[in-house]
Amino acid sequence: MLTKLTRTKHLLAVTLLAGASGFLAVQAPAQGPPPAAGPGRAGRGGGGGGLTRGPDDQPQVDPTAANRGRTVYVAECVNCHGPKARGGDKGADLIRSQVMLHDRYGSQLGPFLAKGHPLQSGKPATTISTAQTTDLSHFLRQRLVDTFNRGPGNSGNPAPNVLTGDAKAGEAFFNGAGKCNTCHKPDGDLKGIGSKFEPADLQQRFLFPGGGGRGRGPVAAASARARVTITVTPPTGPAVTGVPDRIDDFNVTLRDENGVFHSFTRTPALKLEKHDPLAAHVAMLPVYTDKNMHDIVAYLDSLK
Amino acid sequence: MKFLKTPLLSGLLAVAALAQVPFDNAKLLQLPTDTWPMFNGDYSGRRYSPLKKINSTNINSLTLAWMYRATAGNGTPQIKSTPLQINGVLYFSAPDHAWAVDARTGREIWHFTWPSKGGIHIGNRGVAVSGNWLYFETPDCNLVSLNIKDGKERWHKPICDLEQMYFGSAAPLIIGNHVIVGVSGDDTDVPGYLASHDPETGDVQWRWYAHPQPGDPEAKSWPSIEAMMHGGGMTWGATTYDPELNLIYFGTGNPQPVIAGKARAGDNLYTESIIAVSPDNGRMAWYFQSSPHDTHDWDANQTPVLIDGVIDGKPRKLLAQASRNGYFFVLDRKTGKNVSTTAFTTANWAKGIGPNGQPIPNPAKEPQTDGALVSPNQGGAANWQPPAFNPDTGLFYVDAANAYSVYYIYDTEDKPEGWGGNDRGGFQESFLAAIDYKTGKTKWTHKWEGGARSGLLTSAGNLVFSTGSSNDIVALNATTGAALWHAGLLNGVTNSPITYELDGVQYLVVAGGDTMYTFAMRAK
Repeated sequence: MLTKLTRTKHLLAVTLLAGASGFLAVQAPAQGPPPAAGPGRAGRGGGGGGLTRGPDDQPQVDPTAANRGRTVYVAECVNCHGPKARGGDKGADLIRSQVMLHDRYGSQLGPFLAKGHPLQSGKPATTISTAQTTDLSHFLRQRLVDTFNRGPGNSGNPAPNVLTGDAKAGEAFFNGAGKCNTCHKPDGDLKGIGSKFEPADLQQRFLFPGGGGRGRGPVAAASARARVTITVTPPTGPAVTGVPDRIDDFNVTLRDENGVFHSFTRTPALKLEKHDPLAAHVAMLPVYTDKNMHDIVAYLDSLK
Repeated sequence: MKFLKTPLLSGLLAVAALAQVPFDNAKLLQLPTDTWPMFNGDYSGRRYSPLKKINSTNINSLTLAWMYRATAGNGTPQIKSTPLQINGVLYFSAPDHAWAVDARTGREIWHFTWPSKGGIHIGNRGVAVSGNWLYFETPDCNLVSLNIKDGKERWHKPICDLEQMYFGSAAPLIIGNHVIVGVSGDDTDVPGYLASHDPETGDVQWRWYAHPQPGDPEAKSWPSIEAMMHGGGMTWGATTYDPELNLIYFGTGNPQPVIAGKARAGDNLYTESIIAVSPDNGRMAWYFQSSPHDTHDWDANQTPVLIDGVIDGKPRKLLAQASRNGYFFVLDRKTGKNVSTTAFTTANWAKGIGPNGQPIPNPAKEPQTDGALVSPNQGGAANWQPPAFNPDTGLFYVDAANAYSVYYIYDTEDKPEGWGGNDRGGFQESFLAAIDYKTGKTKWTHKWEGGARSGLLTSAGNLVFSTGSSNDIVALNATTGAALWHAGLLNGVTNSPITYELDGVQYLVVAGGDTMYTFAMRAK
């Protein structure tokens, strides 16, 4: 049973936590184990899905047990180990804790607490039951998973707030140094674009309208540069224009507007012209300042 | 069925006999000709072959000798490993798998499968061989030693802690009585290290940790001991070695937390640095940090290539690295002092180059909650794919990219952990760059359509081999960059090509996905 003093501390902690981050005061979204599949990490060789982290038998978070564990955490741990279990002046970081990283449903946490770890209620650690230890383990694992998900997996990430620019400055850039108005009109192709897309998507779309650029091979290239067309003029015979299928040092292949596939061997006498309507966007990448980028997003967002 | 078993068994034994010749470790100190005995071909990291039976004048006579398709239980293996060729046998790996294949015919001699307990299976860069024994890392943090004769396990020893999300992917390197191993992993905030294990027992001989000790002057590059001890700096790249100086060279990876660097103010030594240590005891001789306080995941694990060159008329022992951060660094490998620093791709994250040759990060290009437009992107100007250096042309070759993306902070807490952000989207144009090591200037580039990037090989035949634009292996003229030859594969090149000579025939071996392709020059 909590003493009056510890009750006050406990309530204070909950209030502070609710005000500080809100994360302990509301039910956290159910989170399972780390995703088994995620986007490839370009940084480590790419390669697509199927990435796993840590041991195959790593603990699987039960959200209901984690919610019960949260109650234990708030009552006995939070004052020292902090609202995100990342530690503080008085307590260790539990996300980085060797005990917790090696724990399986309380297998390490239980013996650790049993050695007499102080609790914020002042009661002996042995008052935490085995079931509560298991719940606490689920809760702390959930915090670890939450930390994982602030990265390449992206599944736990908020949409970035990119609406920080000056729409008027963006408009001036659009019509001035950016030369955007060469191809785009706010009351034409861009009419209502601010209603169609979230700001974060507007930012990506105007910077990289061709899509991602990390894939490899002809399929990824075709996807990224879908609007590119080429014209091939062989030494004899008519010129052919279409969507490129493959361009390399030795061959060029394309499909024309009727879907007919054409294949050529590249020679000095064979002429190849590329038509890339998005070339101006690429040319601007070294030119934009971050202020330009934010201002343009604000301007595009204003085109409701 | 007995009558069937006997000839099959004797057949297996006959094949196994091919692989029973132990490797003569003296070959590790020679230029690779009839062998490709380590990840980079030799200790220099140049991936240069002195062979010239395949050359820029006859390459169109190169023919396919054989293909070998690897299978690995339930999955399709991606061969990112550089094969070794020893006494006529190729040894290579994929996560949890190692193979021995006859280098003349492509016939499988043995296939070893490791019973995995987990870990990131992103790739395995290759195996090492010493005498009768093969060594390779597993994703679940083991160094496994096999008998090269039959692929039977001799022992396995832990190299890292899977529970802390470390994993194994690097190719070990044999130096004297040492098996040098690196470690991977950047999900949790744990320190990187390079380790040496005993080739006979597998026991740890030493570890060099990628952080200073408390009280060292370099410890001031961290705000606290806790941040420093959880600061990352993995060692998953290629290791090179100068036998004369008796120094090992390698790069360290990103600091932790990866993207959100708020709670690790400072340069964060020894992350994203080129390091020289003694193989005898792991003692550090010098360090050079290529990306101070990085927040873009630009691991500096690219091969530190050793060049015996001439600068301003004087012979120099040099080290060159085309870094993921977009800069080409040339150092004196005796001292670690910078000789030159030059951008080899678009790079907009630095305010300039400091007097010591280090780029000076622009804080505005750190990831932001509303995004920062950064070049290179997270994939980097270069990545794990090994470069090559040709002493005949004096050119350093690297598959590179001009790339942009937007970096975001997702975790705005005062003490972010793990990643805390990421980059998104992007533009990338890929090319092979040929860089003059004397000036750092790019002499020529060869553009690739799409996002092609692979490890490279160069040779005295005036050739550079790389993946091409269309799932092919391409040979360029090493002097001019002109495209000379290619062969279509079922997949782009996923490893780094090698070459060797057997029975008077020069071979070229390259992997694309799950298949090993071997070409031979039989024309006289």
